[in-house]
Amino acid sequence: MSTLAAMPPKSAPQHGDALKAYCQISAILSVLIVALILSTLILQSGPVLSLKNSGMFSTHWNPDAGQYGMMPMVFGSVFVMIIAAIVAFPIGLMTAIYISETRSSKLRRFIKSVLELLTGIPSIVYGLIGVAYLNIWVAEAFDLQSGRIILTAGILLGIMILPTFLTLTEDAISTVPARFRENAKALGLYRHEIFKLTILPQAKSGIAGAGLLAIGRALGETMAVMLVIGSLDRLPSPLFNPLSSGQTITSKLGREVGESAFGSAHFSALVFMSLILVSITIVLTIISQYFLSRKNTYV
Amino acid sequence: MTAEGSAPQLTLVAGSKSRSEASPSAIQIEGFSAYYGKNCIISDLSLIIPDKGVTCLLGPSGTGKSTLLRWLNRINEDTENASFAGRIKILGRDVMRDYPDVTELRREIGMVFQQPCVFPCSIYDNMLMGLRNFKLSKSETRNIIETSLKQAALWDEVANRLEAPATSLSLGQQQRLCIARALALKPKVLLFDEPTASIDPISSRVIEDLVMSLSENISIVMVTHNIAQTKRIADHVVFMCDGKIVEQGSRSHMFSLATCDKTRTYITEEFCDC
Ligand SMILES: Nc1ncnc2c1ncn2[C@@H]1O[C@H](COP(=O)(O)OP(=O)(O)OP(=O)(O)O)[C@@H](O)[C@H]1O
Ligand SMILES: [Mg+2]
Repeated sequence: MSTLAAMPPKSAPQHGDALKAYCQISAILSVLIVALILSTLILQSGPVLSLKNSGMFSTHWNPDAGQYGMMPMVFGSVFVMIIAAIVAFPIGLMTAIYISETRSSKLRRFIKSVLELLTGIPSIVYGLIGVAYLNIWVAEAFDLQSGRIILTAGILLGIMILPTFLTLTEDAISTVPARFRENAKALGLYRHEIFKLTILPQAKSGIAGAGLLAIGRALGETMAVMLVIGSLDRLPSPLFNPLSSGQTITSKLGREVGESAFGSAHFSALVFMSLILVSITIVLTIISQYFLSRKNTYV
Repeated sequence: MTAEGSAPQLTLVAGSKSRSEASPSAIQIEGFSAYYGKNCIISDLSLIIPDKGVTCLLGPSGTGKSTLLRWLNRINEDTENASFAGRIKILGRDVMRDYPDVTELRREIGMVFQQPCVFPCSIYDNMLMGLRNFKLSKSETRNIIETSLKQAALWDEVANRLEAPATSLSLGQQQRLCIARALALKPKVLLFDEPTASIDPISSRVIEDLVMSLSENISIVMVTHNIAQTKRIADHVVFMCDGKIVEQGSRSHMFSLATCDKTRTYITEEFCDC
């Protein structure tokens, strides 16, 4: 012990300093990059914001006529996100409960690893499946000419975010220490009561965080949505009709960024929409992190 | 096996007072084996735990004391790969056959664990937790909660803060809350798995006194590693080693007349070579 203490670890200080500097530079760099992106977005939004009659809050998008109504896209993004949540949350929650309540750890590990594989599938693959099958099934089910509608995009997104939501939810449920379950059991509570009274109250902020993170992902998804949403820049009528074609911010960006001239009002309008998107995502992420970090503070 | 348990008691009057040779048994275990997967932890164990009083279960770590306890109220049923063979009767009723609804069994047999575990809600709601499935009026519920907290020697400390979060209590108080929570269900048997192991000595003594006073009306089975504690509170001592019962008897017998060498070494040196 004493000999060890007497000997300074070889060359540790230099190593330590270099490592520290490296970490610091990396940290500063990543903050800088985020700041750079945000400031670019804000700067590039300038032209469209300074336009007098851009009609941003209208529903007409016609860059040739100087009309940049963004409402259909903003609405489409939010609407698709809501449908995705309606699809994913109940299924995800029920499955998570099932997995966490099962006695067999083998089954649990199996389902978990399948889910983790699913989260890794590139979104374009989902898009292909959406175009090839989902789109047709939806058209048949609702007797439509085309299945490229908001509903299809919502369902597809729901399927895409399901694994993310599910694994995070399952984590939230299974991180509640087992002793709570045992104590509740020892008091003669039924299984569903144990879940409702002791597990859920402790897991709910984790579940909320999972949900927010998942819809944040839904909001940012581009390729898959672009392929199935029908790309029509108008508000559905009636407003909440999921069977009409629509457009999300991301699908709009995906289609038009390439054909807009850098620095033009058109380009600037697209940038501004992406700024809206980023703002929503940042807010969702912050809220979800708040929930996720609160997850275990009461014990 | 002692002679006590030779005749199975099917109908036990709850109030039977005599603790002498004719004392009925609270728990009868016959040919009990417990497994985790293929691993046999306890093999062919038979044991009779007398009604009322404190029965202390002693033995080195890993002997299967907790496993045995956890089968008495079938908590182990939900543990992966856990299984058992043999028969356990509590107050004359077979825990497997006579309790199709396991929650009924668990309401009759309270259990307190090593680590105090209160639910993250108010003290009152903690007490309420087990009472949910009884159809009780508000005032009845309050009465039961008050009596149980008094029985658990906690009432004076929490009477004016029942709505406070249970996690704000000290560990010793939390453990007493766990006991009170179990008492609210009016159990006939209480199982304790090292209830004072994670608690300071003074709080431990409070809990020991509590256990002794409760044992006048309730049969208590307590796993402990603390020999001094056993000396203080046990009426009956069971010494287990390697999934078997080495020796059992009254406290005076075990602490002065233990016939088995293993028992004597364990009791004096807290060491066992099996
Ligand atoms: N869930 C489980 N799965 C598999 N094996 C287990 C499980 N729980 C306990 N065991 C094993 O069963 C044996 C007995 O464990 P048990 O907890 O009953 O011992 P114990 O006598 O209570 O010990 P201690 O005094 O340390 O609490 C140990 O060898 C342990 O490794
Ligand atoms: Mg144990």
